Amino acid sequence: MIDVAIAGVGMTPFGRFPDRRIEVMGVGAVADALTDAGLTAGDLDAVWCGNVLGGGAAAQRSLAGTDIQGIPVQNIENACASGSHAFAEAFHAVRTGRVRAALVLGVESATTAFDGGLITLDRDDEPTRLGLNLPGIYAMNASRYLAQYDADPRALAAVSVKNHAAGVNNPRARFREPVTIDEVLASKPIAEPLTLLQCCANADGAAAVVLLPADDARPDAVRVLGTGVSSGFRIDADYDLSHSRITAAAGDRAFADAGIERSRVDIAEVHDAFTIGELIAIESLGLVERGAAWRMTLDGETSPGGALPVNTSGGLLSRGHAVGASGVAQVVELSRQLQGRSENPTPGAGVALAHTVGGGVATHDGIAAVVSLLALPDAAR
Amino acid sequence: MTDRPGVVYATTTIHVGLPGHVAPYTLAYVDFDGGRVLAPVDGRVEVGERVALVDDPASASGLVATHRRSA
Repeated sequence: MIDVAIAGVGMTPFGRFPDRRIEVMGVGAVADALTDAGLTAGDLDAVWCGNVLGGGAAAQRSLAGTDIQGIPVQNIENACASGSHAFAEAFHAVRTGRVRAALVLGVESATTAFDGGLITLDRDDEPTRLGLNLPGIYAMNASRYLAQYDADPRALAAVSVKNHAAGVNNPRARFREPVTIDEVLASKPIAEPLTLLQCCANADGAAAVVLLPADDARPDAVRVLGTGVSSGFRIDADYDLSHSRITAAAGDRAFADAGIERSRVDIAEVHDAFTIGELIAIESLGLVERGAAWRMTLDGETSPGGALPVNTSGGLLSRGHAVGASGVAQVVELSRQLQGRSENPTPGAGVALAHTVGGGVATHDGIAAVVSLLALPDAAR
Repeated sequence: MTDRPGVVYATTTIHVGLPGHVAPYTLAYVDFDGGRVLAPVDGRVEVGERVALVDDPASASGLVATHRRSA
């Protein structure tokens, strides 16, 4: 097995850019990642690309304006986990020696595809015919979580407050204004108990990562320790909606793949498409005790300076969700964070976790979940 | 079929709904003897509340949950 390093990262700002096609955004992110890695297009051996809404061959279209030609290029669509799944596939290709230099691209033009901000489920399953949309699915989780743990609903709002506060400093985030708990709770109801400011908006953007064998990268390059991928589990009579089986399964695989204990994780970027998603994610990943995340959030333990800073980039709630690009953006932000290049620094952080989960089939708890573990070289040993 | 008693496991009232559904509308996962069903709710309910599952051909699940207690 070959140690794998993140040789370079690049990312466009995420936002509402109806005039920027994926062909334009992809070129910018790739150029930044190659420059950061000190490589040129001719050094790359293969590309994995996450995209959901762009139609066919989004990767090739996004790369048409670059000098990347002739090498294997794979498009991956796995809902919100498309970019993170592309990252996992590229990681294993480098780790096993199948390729030397791999480019991971996530690119999406989402705001024009779904103007209005809410991804709808284009499905004909029974929950969808009953009117259960994506916010409704997460709202079901929230209602169960709050009741099961007698949790304060203000904790949900506190997730939004924390992540919007982080976005204020992040020039790549779509929303850069702070919000208060009262503003979050008073915003438009979407699916009770979730309000508008507890639901991420879509965004347009691209993010790119170059992976190399660690021996070929700068000595201080961030290492990829392991990844885990899971598909969904049916929501049957025994399913515990205060928890996420798909996230737990991906997490178990990632920690086994990396060979590290959960206690080693210093910072995390998790899938906060809705506020409740962050609370359930950090519990289901085993980073905090079950039933503890809501109080820890209210107590600031998941804020910068707390025991486990979560979504210090601002998360999906402030960055916006460029669906197929979000998983790659998490890796870019965590890489910057570990290297001390983040606008919201967490000094001393050595191990980082990225988590995305894609939904869309309401009979199951998700389409795909991906967990990746990253570390500074000293922390990787 | 007679009404079946159940208990609300999780619920939400959706204010921005899917096309073809007049918002706000309430859905609930209801546990009953024999399983769990997702059903539209006649009114609003809370987790843990007892409801009755009543046949409703107009519902995509063939059921609606109501506050009316089963006999």
